[in-house]
Amino acid sequence: MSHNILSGDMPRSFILSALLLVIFVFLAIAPFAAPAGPVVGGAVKALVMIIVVASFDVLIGYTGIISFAHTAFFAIGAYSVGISLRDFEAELPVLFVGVAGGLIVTALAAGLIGFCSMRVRTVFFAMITLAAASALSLFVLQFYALTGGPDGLVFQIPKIFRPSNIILTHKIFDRTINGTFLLYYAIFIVCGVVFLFLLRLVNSPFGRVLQAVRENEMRAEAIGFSVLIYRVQVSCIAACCACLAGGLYALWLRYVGPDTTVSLQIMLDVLLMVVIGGIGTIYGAVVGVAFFVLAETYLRLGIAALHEHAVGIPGLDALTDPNRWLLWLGLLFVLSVYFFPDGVVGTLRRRSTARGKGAAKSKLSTIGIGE
Amino acid sequence: MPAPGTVEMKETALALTDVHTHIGQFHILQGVTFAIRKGGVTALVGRNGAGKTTTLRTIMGLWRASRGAITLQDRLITALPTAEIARLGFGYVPENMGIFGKLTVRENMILAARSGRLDRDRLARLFGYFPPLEQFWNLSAGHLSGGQKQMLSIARAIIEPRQILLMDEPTKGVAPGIIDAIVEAFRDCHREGATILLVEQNYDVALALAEDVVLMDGGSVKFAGTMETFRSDPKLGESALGFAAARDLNIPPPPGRPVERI
Amino acid sequence: MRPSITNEWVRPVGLLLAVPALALTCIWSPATWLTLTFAGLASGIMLFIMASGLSMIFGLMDVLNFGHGAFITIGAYTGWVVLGLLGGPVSSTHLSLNVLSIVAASGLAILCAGLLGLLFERVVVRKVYGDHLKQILITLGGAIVIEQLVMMIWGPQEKTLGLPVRLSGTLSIAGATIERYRVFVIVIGLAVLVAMHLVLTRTRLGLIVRAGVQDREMVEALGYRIDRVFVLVFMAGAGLAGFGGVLWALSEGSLNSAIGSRTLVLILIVIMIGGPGSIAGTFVASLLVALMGSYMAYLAPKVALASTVLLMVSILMWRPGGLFAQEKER
Repeated sequence: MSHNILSGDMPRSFILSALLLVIFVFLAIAPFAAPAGPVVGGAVKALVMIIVVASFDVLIGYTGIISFAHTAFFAIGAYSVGISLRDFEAELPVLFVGVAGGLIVTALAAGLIGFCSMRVRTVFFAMITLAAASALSLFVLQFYALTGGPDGLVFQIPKIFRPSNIILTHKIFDRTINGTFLLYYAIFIVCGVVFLFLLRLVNSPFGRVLQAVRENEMRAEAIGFSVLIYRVQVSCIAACCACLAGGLYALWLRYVGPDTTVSLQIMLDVLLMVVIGGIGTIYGAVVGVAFFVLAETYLRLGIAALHEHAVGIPGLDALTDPNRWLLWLGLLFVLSVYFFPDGVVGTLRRRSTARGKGAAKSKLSTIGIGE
Repeated sequence: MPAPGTVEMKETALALTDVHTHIGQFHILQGVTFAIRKGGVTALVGRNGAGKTTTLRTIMGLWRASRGAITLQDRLITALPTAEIARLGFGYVPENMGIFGKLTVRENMILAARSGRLDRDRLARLFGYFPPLEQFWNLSAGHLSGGQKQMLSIARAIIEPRQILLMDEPTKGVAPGIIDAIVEAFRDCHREGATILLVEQNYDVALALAEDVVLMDGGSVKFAGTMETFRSDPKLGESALGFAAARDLNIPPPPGRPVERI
Repeated sequence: MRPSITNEWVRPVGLLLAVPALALTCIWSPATWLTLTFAGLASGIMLFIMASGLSMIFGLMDVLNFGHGAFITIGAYTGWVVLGLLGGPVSSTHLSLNVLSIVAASGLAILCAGLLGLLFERVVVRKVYGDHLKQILITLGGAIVIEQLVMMIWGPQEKTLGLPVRLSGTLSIAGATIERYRVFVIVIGLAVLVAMHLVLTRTRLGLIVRAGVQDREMVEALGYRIDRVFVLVFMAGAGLAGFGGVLWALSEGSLNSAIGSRTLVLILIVIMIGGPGSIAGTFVASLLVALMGSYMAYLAPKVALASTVLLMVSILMWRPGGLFAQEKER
């Protein structure tokens, strides 16, 4: 049965399976874990980012498309939800309309971008998406009336999801089951379904065509697949996943702003997570996100602790300044691309297979991002 | 020049030993072994897809041999960078001619002259063989016709004396009148002492120039020997060339060509 | 000089002339138009100086350096430091001293950026030749690290940068107010362009580079170690970026650690429009983008960047390789 749910794409490594199970269980019971606030917030961020990273992996790892516009779609989703809930009644129908609106805009934009990829080389395409994402980010910052500019928007969420909505009168594990719980599990389920959907997608005939296109575009075209149609489709699908994730995140935060959606750092975070997790694995998204969330918390704490001791020592003091978190992120990034190109999942899987037959080739090095 | 009647020592200029080349997952060269006599002209023949171009590219280091050894007069050149291999005395005419279209004919030639200066006399001689080069000296090479580009490509390879000339179909797309000029130019180089390895689909040319033949098929060498032996065996000609015509050709060697004695 | 101007120039130059002409019809006042045009030209030239290096690197070795902005940043900060030390010549009323101070600042900026370029090539780029994905990722990572180091050394606050006395202020040309500094930049920029052109067309090195952009393999087969040439080009590109950084910071009057990444997006747009590996393309594209930006900033500031992106997309649809696309032989 698990074979079916996971669309035949088994973890293929004992350690990986164990890891995934632990993460899954943790995410499933997060609202009951103590302390409630930051842990649950972290869990939601993780759930949402898993979808963003997994859909990004479909693009980069399976289709060979590098799109810096991916987080722009996340932003579109978030802002659609935010704007509709702010300007209209904070009720479920409005929420659905907002999400639908975001998805439509996303699908159109992604389709257009996918269409553009036809005439340009992969590398040019990457740069175009970067430019487009920058333009969107500026747009968000400047159209204050619509988007709240640099300050962002705050809004109410539908009553059913509010903490004031008590669902069960008696407490479970000392926690009040209210609207927040409902929201958390709604997000959990939606993300779970989307994740399984992506897994199914890449293991389906459609997914195999994507990989064929990635390996050798001309041959795929010669066999009869319209490369353009596939690219447009996968662009739309991945973008819509990111859009949905953005909407969910905005709903949880009850806030949307440039810092949570369009900043370059989010794109970098996604890149880091996909590289560390493992490109072209989908499961890599889960591992990468988990690693990142943990690192962000604990590594930061560690560096801050070092900082306490380093006061007075000139170089070390500045290096461990908590504001320099990006420096360490960048270094981590560079090191993982160098020494760890398969990511965690890729390496674990290779080790498993190596014990059996010959070692599989590194995904990162076989991705011929060609013309 | 050894005295008549004595055994000629065949010094090897270039030797390939069990060379394999992989392009991606394709195993193109599957154990290529042959040697080229110093100062000789060797024709590398075979069907399309036999691996002839790949062999030349592997020698030049443009594609890396995954296995095997390539030696230039006892010097191992298999793993050297292309530029170093070239500097050891190679002249190379690639299959696609390798013309720099946005540079002028003059600039193409200047690049080819590694010593930094164009030898006036030699250039004049090349102009004699290939008049369009002089005519279009300051024109962008991209504007030349196919045949003219081929002339430029060859001229680039021989603007300075080279030890070894690797030619990949130098007469492809060239009008018959020009072919004679090309053959003459090659004969000049041969007289200078250059070793020539020639991939040629034009068998008249191959037969006119080559003393030795290497026949390739399916990525390996099926025959390596003298032109006489090759021509005398009709099966070889047919299997390699796909038509029986080779057997019927009876082109006499050009005057002045040194007669081999074994 | 190179042989006669061929057809490939006609359409791009036509486009380049069309933009200001169109702008004139939207901006009724000739004086305003003149001011904006000079501003655009000056910005365009600075963009060109910063972008040319990256364009050649990309065209020659197919290397995408998303960390190019780091060279701009380092150059800008070096210039700031030097100009800070040369308070005297900067505030002097002698034009020659003013110019000299900029020369000194630029010279050191070029040196530092060039050295950083060497380091970057050795440590970061060399390992990932041929792999675009890794290149993008690693150079991005490298760029972040350098930007953070800059913040560490100089702090995150914005620094102000004052123009030397005789180069600041405005001139009046045909009733329009033109900033003196912009005229200065245009003069310098044209000088750089001419110098580049001479190096590329009159020297052997330039010849190798021009040939290498078209067919790297053949250049190697002719006996030239193109990887060594590449290091030089990389360093030169980095140095130019540093130089551009100084000029840009002076024109903005301030700088912070993000100056490089800010301009990187524009530079990438310029390279794509102009066609990688072509100095002419980079030049025309830089002017195009900057002029467009200048006019749009006046006419409809909120959509300035978006319109630039739109311009880029339309040009790429028309000519996928860029205005002066280099057809690679292989």
